[in-house]
This record gives sequence, structure tokens and C-alpha cells, in this order.
Amino acid sequence: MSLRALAVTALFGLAATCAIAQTRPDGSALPPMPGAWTVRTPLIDPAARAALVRRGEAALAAGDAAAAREAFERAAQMQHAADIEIGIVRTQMLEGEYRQALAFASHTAGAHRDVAAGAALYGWLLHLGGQNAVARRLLDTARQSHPMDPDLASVWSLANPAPDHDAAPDLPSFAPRSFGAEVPDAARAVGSALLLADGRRAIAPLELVDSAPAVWVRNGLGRTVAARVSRREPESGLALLRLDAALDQVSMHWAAREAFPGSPAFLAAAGDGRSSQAAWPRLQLGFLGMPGADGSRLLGIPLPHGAAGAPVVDGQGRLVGMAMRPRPDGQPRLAGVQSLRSLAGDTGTDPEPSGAAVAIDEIYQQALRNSLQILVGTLDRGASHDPETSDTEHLSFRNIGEGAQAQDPGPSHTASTHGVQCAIGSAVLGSRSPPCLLRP
Amino acid sequence: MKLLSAFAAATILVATAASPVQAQTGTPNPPFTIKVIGFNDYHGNLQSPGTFGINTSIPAAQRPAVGGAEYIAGHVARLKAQNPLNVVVGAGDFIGATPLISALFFDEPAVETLNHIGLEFNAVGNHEFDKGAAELRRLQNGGCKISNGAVDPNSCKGLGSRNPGLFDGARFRWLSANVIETATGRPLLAPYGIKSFNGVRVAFIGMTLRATPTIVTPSGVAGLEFRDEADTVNALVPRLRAQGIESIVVLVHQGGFQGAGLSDINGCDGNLTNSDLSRLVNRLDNAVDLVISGHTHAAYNCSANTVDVVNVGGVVTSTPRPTGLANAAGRLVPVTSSSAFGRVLTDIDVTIDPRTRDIVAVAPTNRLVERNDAVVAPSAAVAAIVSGYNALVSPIAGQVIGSITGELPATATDAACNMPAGDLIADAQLAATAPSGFGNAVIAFMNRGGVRNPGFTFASSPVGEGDGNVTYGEAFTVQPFGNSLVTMTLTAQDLKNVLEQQFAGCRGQGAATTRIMVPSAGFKYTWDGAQACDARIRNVTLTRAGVTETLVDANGTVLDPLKTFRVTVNNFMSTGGDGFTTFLGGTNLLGGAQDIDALVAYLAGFKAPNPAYDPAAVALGKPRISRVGGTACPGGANVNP
Repeated sequence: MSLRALAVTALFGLAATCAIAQTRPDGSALPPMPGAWTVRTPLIDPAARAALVRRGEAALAAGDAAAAREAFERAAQMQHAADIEIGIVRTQMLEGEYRQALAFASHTAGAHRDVAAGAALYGWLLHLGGQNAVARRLLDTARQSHPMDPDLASVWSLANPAPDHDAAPDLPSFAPRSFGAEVPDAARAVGSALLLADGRRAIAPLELVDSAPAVWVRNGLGRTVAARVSRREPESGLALLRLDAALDQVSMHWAAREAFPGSPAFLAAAGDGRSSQAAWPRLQLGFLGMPGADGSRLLGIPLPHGAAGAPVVDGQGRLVGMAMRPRPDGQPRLAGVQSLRSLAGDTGTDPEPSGAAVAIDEIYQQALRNSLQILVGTLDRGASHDPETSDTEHLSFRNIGEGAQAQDPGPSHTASTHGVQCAIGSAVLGSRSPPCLLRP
Repeated sequence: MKLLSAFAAATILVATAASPVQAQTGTPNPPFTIKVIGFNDYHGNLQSPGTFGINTSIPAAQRPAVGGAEYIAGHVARLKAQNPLNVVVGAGDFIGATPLISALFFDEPAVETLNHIGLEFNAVGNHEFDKGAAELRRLQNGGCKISNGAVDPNSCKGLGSRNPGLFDGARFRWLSANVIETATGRPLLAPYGIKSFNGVRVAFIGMTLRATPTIVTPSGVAGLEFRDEADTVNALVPRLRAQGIESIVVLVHQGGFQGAGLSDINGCDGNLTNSDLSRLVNRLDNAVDLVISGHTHAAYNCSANTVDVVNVGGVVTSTPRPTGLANAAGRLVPVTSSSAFGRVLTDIDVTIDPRTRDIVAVAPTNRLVERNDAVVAPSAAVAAIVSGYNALVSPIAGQVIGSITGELPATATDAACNMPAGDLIADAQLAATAPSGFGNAVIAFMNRGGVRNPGFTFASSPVGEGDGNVTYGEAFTVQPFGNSLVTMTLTAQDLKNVLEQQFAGCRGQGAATTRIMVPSAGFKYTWDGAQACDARIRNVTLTRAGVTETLVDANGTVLDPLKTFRVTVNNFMSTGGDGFTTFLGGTNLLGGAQDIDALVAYLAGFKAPNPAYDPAAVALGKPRISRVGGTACPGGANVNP
């Protein structure tokens, strides 16, 4: 008889033996189960724990993932607690590790049911990653236990958007933070863009940026950099943006040919479109549409608010196009991969003729870095380039557009916005001057 | 190990390690070593949870990627190869609070991967009760999850079971010594397991923390009583000893934390002072030789192999400090935990004296489950399970792609062999390849064998999409082959020939196979099974834009044999599949979309708010196939039933 068989035989035999009431070694009966039980927790140093959490939060706000991880993991070695785990999950998102964050959040939600934020965070991550049905079930269940929790309420609203509701949503307390270049409060999120392989360029719908005085892009991690339009292609409706500083890009294959109608696709929109706050991207699933009556390709996938410019990838994770705003017929379009390729030139990767299906969480993880939120506005007091990463000429401005003076010790440059020449450098802009593109 | 000090234990460990052959020869007299491989709080982490350092002094960038079921299996296999006398055990929370890849499928993937990893005994943890005792029993014993009276569509995927459609259940035994069913007074599951090594039996008592009812949903623990951990163990000890068992290992889902320090995975900083676990061990009978714990997700190793790791001025030093946690007799008992999520395995060499049948030395080492360890090969079988479930997680399957007004079966509805599901598919393929640039097709043919049962059903699937709605998953069931479309140029004579080729024994078709294709809308023909080969097809017409053209007349004559038409079939048929070798003569071939994509695109036109697809609509031009005589659609050698 094998060891295993022996073990199993013994197991069942002894299980039957031990089905008798439990007793102490001396034969006396065990005490009854008490009616109440106090959970004893290990002794911890509350001050040290709180300091670590504060340090982690500060690191998250600064975009310093390594410091955040170090702080939260040290805290986790002191206590198994939801707030610490949520800090770790947010750190993983800051690192661009969506799949790991999702897995860890699942644990936080399941292991700390008394803390609504755990379920809220997990539900939000599921929702953003396209698992809407699962997310709604989870959030509905959690709300029964925590009907008044603000984080849960805001995530539930995000996962169940009211139709035609344009107001900026209340984001939960654990929403990502913006870091890098400062963006004026008045800047608006107008859509999404695709980061190219060199990390210095991006493609966006031309109509989103064409008339914008100033443009910033922000990835799903929260890093923000200033950008400018470097090329316009009215025929395809696309624009090429040049970024002030490089952003990390995840290698992405481009489809070798245009995707077929009906093929499954994932639209990776950066941000909610109703808020200029930093935001994790969200995936929209669907199937690509047929050619429209005007010969353009119908997107086929409902386009959420503010999702124009979202990269569209197929089930193999290959880029197949970009979501474009609806035409007058109300149907959003797809800018095909060939038009993107003609604008990008070198895509940095070889087209992948075919490949295995890519898991949806991997597609989302790709979007965290490759889908960019576009913000437009005017530079005002407090707005600046990323002091650490910008390698373009630095200018400082005061009240541009309202009699402000651009102060630049360097040579004068001109830039054109709305066809109006704006002097940048030593020139003084008149009070009626339109805002200018702020890079030479 | 009752009388041995930690120093003596370490000495014996060295002696044993120097004579590993003893364990392999099975010599009964000298002490021999077994390998106990332990871990805890797997939480269904089939995929890597990320990076992890052996202590917090390791910079994040230098921490290796760890975990993932296929690597856990690889590391376990490597450890087992070091000693054939081995056992793999767990300290609970292997299911529950799991990632979607496991949770969506009712944690069957977690159990299946643990089966392949080779787990043998596992204590129940609090999360084993998240879904209640009945569900835990199902996961132990196997069988599908029943929802609303039927097998839940997300259950019994069986990717790690014997067959798809099955869930084998756990091949390991969950142990629940202190979980008592109040109705029977008996333990819910086996209280302990026993494994024999060289004739010496080792007992593994498994249990969860007594406080489980305070941290899981009440429904999960209804009807269960959770008894004191130490009392439970101490009550079992005399029974085990009465059976001649002296080697006793406790697997307990209860834990502690190290004190302020670097939390090295082999550290025991502060000796887990004041933890629930230390209090538990303080009360344990002296017969217990080893405690493998969990619950806190912390790693520690309080044993003869403990190291104190400190960082002084940026210099990290490691100093051995043999220790353990004191039991009721004051003896130091080795206590381990291996973090969580499959990041760490505890590799424990346990030396047993066969004369006393007792454990005389315990040497645990926590080891990272590194994914880039050159000497560890991940398990391909487990990797396949993980990858399979990862694919199934995609929510795309539940997406509604269109609506239908009634059943569209994948079987013949008349003696002529018309098939509603095939009609829809052929129309979809024509629609996908008709536009300029996509093939300019005017006809599409679908092989009926490529249309799988049950066709398109009107009733809602268990997904709950609603009656009449067709989901991507349902469509994929009907067209699962992933064929692509091929559009080619055929002559009118080719069309006549390929239609004649449908019948058994004609134009190279198999002698026992009659395969009537399903044409797209606008294409019609009549066949007569009573006729001979090449004389069965007549009245072939093609209607486009309201104009009907006759290709083959009522006498079977091809009116314009050289006239060409663009025809779409799938790539299987285009390469002569199902005996249709006529398609091999097609010219100007153009590859196209996958068949399922074409179907999705076509059905999008019948998705709300558009009217649903009505198979009886006049515009669909049915019936497309007519027949002279006959009572049943043929499929075999008899072409005229």
C-alpha cells in the first residue's frame, strides 16, 4: 500500500474515532464555547504605524512608488489592516501593476469586510478593468453593509453612471494623485491620447487639441507633462503631440492591418472625461463596427463621455485604432491603425500578424501607461513644467492672457494659436491677446 | 523532541544532513529526516502577486518576482526531489478573498492548482468559511456548483480536473479539528491527517482560529462551533499517542508578527510576544513538535534556524539565534509562517528517531518562491491551468451582440436540409465580405458541420442576458473553430460542380458522407436525390438588388459556364475541407475576418434598439434549398432518404 493510501486510510479511521466529544488529556470535558470572543491583536506601536502610513501617503502624492512601497510594506509587517493594504494596492497602481493591484485588492475586500474602502477599491478596479458585472455585484453587496460610506457611494456612482450626467463625479479618497507638471485649476480634461513607443510623442484627435492654448498629458499613474501640437493631419483628424518630458511606455504591438468589423476590441479611455483630476484609465468592451455610409469606420463600441482619443486594442492586445468623436450621425468613428501609423512613423515595434489572446487585465495594465489623459487650458499662476523632468526651455509666466508678461531671458520666439501670432520672450502680451502656445 | 535543547536539535540536524542516505534507504533504526513543505494564505493567487524581499532592507528594485501557482509547483517539486520522504501541508486561507481568476469560478481553480502542487493536508482558515460549510464540503469532495437549480456556468470548467465539465474536488484533506458541527457534535471535516515515513506515523492536526465567527459572515459559520485551539490539540494528543504516534505537527490558522525590525522571513524578532499565536503555543502539550501557522500574512521562523537581521548604519548583518515559542512545559517549539499569496515556502527538515517514533530535530527555512530561479522549472501543467482560467475571466463572453425573435436550430428543419442557424451564419459571412475591399462577394456557403449545437437559442442563458438576446459566448458556442473567411472567384460551372459534390460518392465526396451546404440569402437551388451524380442540381438562381439571374436551369444546364462570381467560404472549406475540393480551384483569393467576427458584425444590426433578427422574414429568401421528393435530410451514404 502506498504512503498516500496508508495516510488516507488512517485519516478516515481516525476521523471516525475523533468524532466523539472533545475532552482534555485528563479526560475532563472541554469548556463550552463562550458567548462572546474578543479578538486579540498583536501589540503594535501606534505612533510608528501611523508614521509609516503618513510616509506612504506622502510618497504616493509625490509619485514615489519605491518610498510608498517601503513604508506600506513595513506597516504591513506590523499589522494586517485594510488601510495599509489599500496603500499597497495604490502603490501597485502607481507602479503600473494593475493585475497585482487587482489581486491584492480582492484580498483586502474579502478579508476586511468591515472596512468599506476595501470593497470600494476592489469594485472600482474591477469596473475600470471592464469587469462591470462583477464590480456591480460586489458594490451592491458591500453597500448593504455600508450604506453610508462615502467612498463606496462614489465608486457605486462611477460604476452606475446616470445617463447624460456631465457633472464631475466625486472621486473616492483613494483616487490617484497628479504629480509632475502642475496644471492650472481651470484646465479641462477633454479626452485621451496614445503614447508612442519613444515616450516623447503622443497621438490625439486633432479637434481636442487644435485650438488649445496649452496642453498637458497625464498617464494612468498620475505623471503629468506639458505637451504641444507638433503636427496636424486634418484628413485623418489626428494630431501628433510632442511631450516636454518622456513618459514610460509599455511596448505595444500594432496590428498589421485594419481590424475586421465585429472583432472584439477594448477601448482604453484615460480618465472620466468629466474631471481634470488624475484618474486611472477605464476599459470599455465591445465589437468593432462596420464601415459607415461615408466610408469611415464605425467604432461600434459605445463611446463614454470624454473617451475620444482612447486607444483601441484587439483581443490580442494589438493597437487597432483610436476612438474618434461621433459624426453628425451620432456614431463614433474608429481612426484605423494605418492612419495612426502614418502619423507616428516608426511605431517602435513590429506589427504582430497574429497572436494568442491577451488577458483583459494585461490589456488594462498596458493602458495604465499608454493611454494618456489630455488636459487643455491656459497657463496661469502656479502652472509650471515638471521641474525634474522637463528638458525644454523653461519659461515663467504671470497671468498670461490678462495683461501678463512672459519672462524669458532667452531669445524671443513666436508661436501661433488660432492663427494669431503671439510673442513669447521679452514681448508684453496685451490684455486682449489670446493665450499662446507656451513652447517655442 | 521533548528533552532536547535547541542546541542539541541543531547538532542532530547537522548529523542528519550529513547522512541523507539514511532517509532514502529506509533503515528503521537510525534517525532519518523527512521534508515538510509548508505554506499558508495562498488565497487563490494563481498568478504572481509581484515582488518580495527576504526582508525590508532589500530595495524594491532588487526584490525578485515571486509566486504564481506554476512556480509554487516547481519549487515544491524541487524540494520534494531532495527527499523522497516528504509531505506538503498548509495552514489555511487557501481559498476565499481570492482574485477574480479564482473567485469567479467559485475557487475551483485554487483547489485544482493546489492539487497539482501536491498539497496533502491543509488546516481550514477563516476564509475557508466565507461561503459556508456546505460549499467548503463541495470543494473538498468535488461536484459542480448549483445555482438556481442548474450547474452554474462558471462552475466545473475543469481545466485542472480530469475532464472539462468536472470538478474533482480537493485531493488534499482540509483539517478542522476545532470546528464542530453543532447538530452532530462532530468535527466538520477530518481533525487530523497521518502520513507514515519508514513506518513511523506523523500526525498533522489542522484547525483555524477560534475567533473565526467574529471575522466571517454569520451565514458562513452557521451551525458551527469553533473551539479553543490549544484545548483541542491537547485533547487529541493522548488519542494520538494511544495509537503509537509521537510525532505531532500542528497546522493552525493563527499567527503573529515580528517586532520592529527588518521582518526577515527567517527572523523571529520579539519572539511574537503577546500574539494570539504565542499565547496558543504557551498552552500546548509538550507532545507537539512543530507548529506551522498563518493568518497574519507575516513571515517568521522561530526555530533552531532563526536569524536576527539588523541594519546598523546601512550595514545589514545576520546573526543566528536558535529559538522557538515556549509551550506549556516551557520548552521552545519551532513555529513558522510563510507570508502569504504563495510568495514563500517553508522548507522544514524534520528528523525522526524511529526507536521513539518521535521528532528529535526540526530545521525550518523560509525560502522565496522566486520566478527567476535558474534551477526551478515552473510546472507546465499548472501554467496551462492558470492561463486557461485567465482567458475565461474575460467579460467579453457575456456581452450581448444581437437579438433574435425565435429559435435558430443547428439542425435541418426540412428534408431539403435548410438550417436556420446556418442561414444566419452564411448571411453574416456574405455581409462581411460583400463590401468593396472586403471581397465583393455575392454568395456565401456555410458547411453545416461548422454550425454547432444547439444553434441560437431564444431563451436566456444562465448569464441572464434575457430572452432573445444572443451573447458573444453563445455565438462562440455555435462557431467555436476560429475559422477565417476566404473569398474567391468561381465560375458558374464551379458552382454547379460544388453543389453536386455535396452528395456521397460524387466528385470525390466520401462514399458515406452527404454534406448539404447552407447558402446565403439570394442564392437558391433545387436538388433531387433520386438522380445520379452530377444530375441532382437544377434551378440555381441568384437574386441581387431585386434581379434574379438563373445560373443552372430546370434541366440542370449551366447557362453561362464561364461567368464568374465572388464566393465566400471559411478557410476550412477553401482548402477542400468536408470533401469540397472544388473550392481548391478558386482564384483571386482574399482572406477576411474570423467567422465569429462576421457574425458579431452582422448581428449588431439586430441589436436593440434595432428590430431583432426574424428568421421568417421574407427578405431572407427562404427556403433557399428545395428538394424533389425525400422525407429527411441526408447525412450519410443514402443521399435520398
